[in-house]
Amino acid sequence: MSDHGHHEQSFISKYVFSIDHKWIGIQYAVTSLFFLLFGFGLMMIMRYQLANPGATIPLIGGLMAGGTFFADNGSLGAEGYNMFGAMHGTIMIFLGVVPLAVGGFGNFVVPLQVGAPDMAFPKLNMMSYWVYFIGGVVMLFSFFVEGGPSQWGWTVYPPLSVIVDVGKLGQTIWLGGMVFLITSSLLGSINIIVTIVQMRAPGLTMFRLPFFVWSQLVTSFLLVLAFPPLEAAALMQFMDRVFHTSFFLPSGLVVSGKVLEVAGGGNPLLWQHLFWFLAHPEVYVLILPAMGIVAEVIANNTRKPLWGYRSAVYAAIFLGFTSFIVWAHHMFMTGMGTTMSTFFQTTTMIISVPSVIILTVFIISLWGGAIRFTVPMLFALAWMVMFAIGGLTGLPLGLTATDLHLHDTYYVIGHFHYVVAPGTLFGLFCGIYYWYPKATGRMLNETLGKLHFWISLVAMNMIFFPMFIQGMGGLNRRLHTQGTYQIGRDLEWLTKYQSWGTYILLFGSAIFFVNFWMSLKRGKVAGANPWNATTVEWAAPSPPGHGNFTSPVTVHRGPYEYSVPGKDQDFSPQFVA
Amino acid sequence: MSGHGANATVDGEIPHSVTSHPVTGINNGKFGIWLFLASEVMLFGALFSAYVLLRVGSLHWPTGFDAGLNIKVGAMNTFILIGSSVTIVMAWASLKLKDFSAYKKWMLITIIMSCVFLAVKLAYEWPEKFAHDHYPRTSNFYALYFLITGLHGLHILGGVVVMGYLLGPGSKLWHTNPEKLTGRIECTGLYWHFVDLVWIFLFPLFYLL
Amino acid sequence: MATTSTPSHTGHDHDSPEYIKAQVRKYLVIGGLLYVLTVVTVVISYFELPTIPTLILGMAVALTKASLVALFFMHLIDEKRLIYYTLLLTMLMFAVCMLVPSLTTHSAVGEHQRVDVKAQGEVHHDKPAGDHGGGEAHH
Repeated sequence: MSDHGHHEQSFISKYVFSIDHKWIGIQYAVTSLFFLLFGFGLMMIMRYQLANPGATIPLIGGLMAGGTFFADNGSLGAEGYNMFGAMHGTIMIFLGVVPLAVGGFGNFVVPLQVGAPDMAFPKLNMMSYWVYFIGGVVMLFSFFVEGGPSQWGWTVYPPLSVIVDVGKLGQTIWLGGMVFLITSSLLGSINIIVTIVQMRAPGLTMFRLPFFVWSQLVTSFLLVLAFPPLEAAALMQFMDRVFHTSFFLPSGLVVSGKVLEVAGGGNPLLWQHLFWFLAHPEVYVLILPAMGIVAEVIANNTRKPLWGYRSAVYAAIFLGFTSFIVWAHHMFMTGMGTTMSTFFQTTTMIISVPSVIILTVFIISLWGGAIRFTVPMLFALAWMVMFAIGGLTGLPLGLTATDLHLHDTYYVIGHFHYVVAPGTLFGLFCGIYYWYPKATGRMLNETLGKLHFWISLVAMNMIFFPMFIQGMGGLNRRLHTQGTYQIGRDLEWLTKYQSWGTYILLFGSAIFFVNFWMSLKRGKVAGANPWNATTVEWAAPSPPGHGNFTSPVTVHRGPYEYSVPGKDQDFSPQFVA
Repeated sequence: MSGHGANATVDGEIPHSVTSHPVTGINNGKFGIWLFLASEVMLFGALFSAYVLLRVGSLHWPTGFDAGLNIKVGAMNTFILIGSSVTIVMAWASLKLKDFSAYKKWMLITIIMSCVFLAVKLAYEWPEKFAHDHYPRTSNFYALYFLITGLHGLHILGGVVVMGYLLGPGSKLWHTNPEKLTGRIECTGLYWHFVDLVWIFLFPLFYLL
Repeated sequence: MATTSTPSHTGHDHDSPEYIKAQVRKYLVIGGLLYVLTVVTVVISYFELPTIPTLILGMAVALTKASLVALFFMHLIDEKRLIYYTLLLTMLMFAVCMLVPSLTTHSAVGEHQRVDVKAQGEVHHDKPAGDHGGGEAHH
């Protein structure tokens, strides 16, 4: 450990504006967990409305009746439903999952796994967190302005998101919040790329890196190149709303019987192109870190090397690259010619291949393994099945012929929630259970962990599986009262079980919450390497001190040398000579 | 663990923050700034993409002249910005030649030239448009003009702030770690040349076409 | 970029005063070239050519200037492979972002045959109902 004299740090510089990647990672993780809970809360209220149309929301409906969101009888109003829906999506993706996956896990684990004392730019790292925090505050603030927050889906398509501006400051604030969040993401991903490329310990060549590090590298490249077009689009939408420009407003648009008095000549599809140019790579940003975590946990808990490590790495790189040329599969219904829609359909089919390769690598890695059913492993195993369902259900959406029927229905919601909720979130919970000992020096309680796992697995399937049925039946999304349409009435019986699913999930999440905080002080003490793992982060003490490692790290072998014949242990850590 | 031998004194705690990595051949800051510039290419690229889409789909698109853009003023600003690119390179070269006072002189000139550029844009060109009742809302030409040149101007302002810091309190680094300061000026220079590069495209795109 | 004064792979000592002074001379020459090309841009405007030739000429000059800045001021002519690959990837994505949206919304890509329209003797091509806001792209 490098001693630079023992200067006592003030509380502010140690815990508020820390430049230590481990603490910043924890800041990101804790903040994002609260945002995930908030986003989940919004959805519980929405699900209640869907299951009990027009009924007073328990507990809060009475308190907040007649405000921006709730009707006079305390039920969730139609506009309130749309607001909660738009903010649920925005908060879960940009304030919840990505900050946890990249800001939390990326920051905490990557420097440790590459044998570095910190990230390449520690002060920039600190600023990235606080810019994210400000962005979060700005987004939350939009709930309290007159007219409420954004209500046009997380996709905020113009013209609708542009023309409604009287008293609807919330959308403009959303745009401002996005600028902060995008900035934070950009700075964070630059930090990760430079750290991985430049600061690996001696002996740690690129193909000795854990798959988790590769997944973070590809993710960060996606963020660097894909986010700026959304920032540009947000600036243009801001100008349309505040300065009455017509970037997205076509000529002759009639609103409420009157021709809109703007210059016109704009194009609503411009927004869609720039938005989806980011938002498609964004979904790979959501899944890649989870894939990385699952890889680590599978190798560790099968006591075998990862089968097909190189294939998985090349697949991840190819996945990242291809993710930039599929975006208009979100726009099949916008009237593009068959040449372009065929192009995007083809690239979308192609991009399913690397995902399948990675999943195959994981499945085959189980074969012949001495599987330990630890809590992380349970999440990893379930992830594989859930991601398979999510991925397979994406195929009819990527094919134009079937997308015709399924676009904007609940089928889409079911598909992407499977990949993000029992997909990514399971991957992230997996990571929390796996790396909590490294971060805190204590193990999370195993019984509570298993309860959390099983309850979440059942609950998530209860919530999301019926969506495929609803979607195939033709029920469209973003609908406050499903009974508006006959198909909604026919399928309404499903919503009851879906909202029970949300209560059960809340219960499971409460167990996790209790476990998380309780184990800080009461958990079983963990040593440096409680999982008998092979990657470099387990060389550091738990928790690591300043500079991370007590002696210089040199790497001697690949990342998953488990059960090597002839050795007396079933694992040969990378960092041991 | 930080630093391998002699490099640790220059790099500090973070390996290769100043010294070049033996395999990649560059230091962290240089790689970092190029990645940042990559993201900036995508940012301005998206705006150029909007320009292409909106112009191709438009019924009527004015030339710069029709829109009241003064190409001579634009050319003068181009000269100023290119000049500032040269002066910032001179500032870097001064540090490489260990001439600290020359560095400060060239940095100051760069800042002044940048401020002149901004002044011409914000105190003359833009108000002149407003006086003729040409606002962003007037047409998509003006909307794009104001947005892109405005964003470009914000980038210049950001650069000026950083340069001001490196001329002022940040320059003290010369006395403790001259290589690190030189590296920082090189990175600032790269950013500055990029800002110049964007203008090199903006100028003909709006004033000429 | 500042290593201790060992010669680089090109054989130059990148820290010697002679080398730096030679670089400075080069920068001044490039600066002068950039000024000349700026004047050329202004001169082009005086010819008042139609849009397409002006576009081609103007962008050609801009690309030349940009190349000079990138290759020499930003040292790209002499840079490491890592930077080249990063920029190559970026340029690819830039091209995609620039071109594909227009290709997708410009509905001439797809069903419509220009032949029919030209046979009717019209200079501009009709856009079908799927189009928005604009119509003919004529200048």
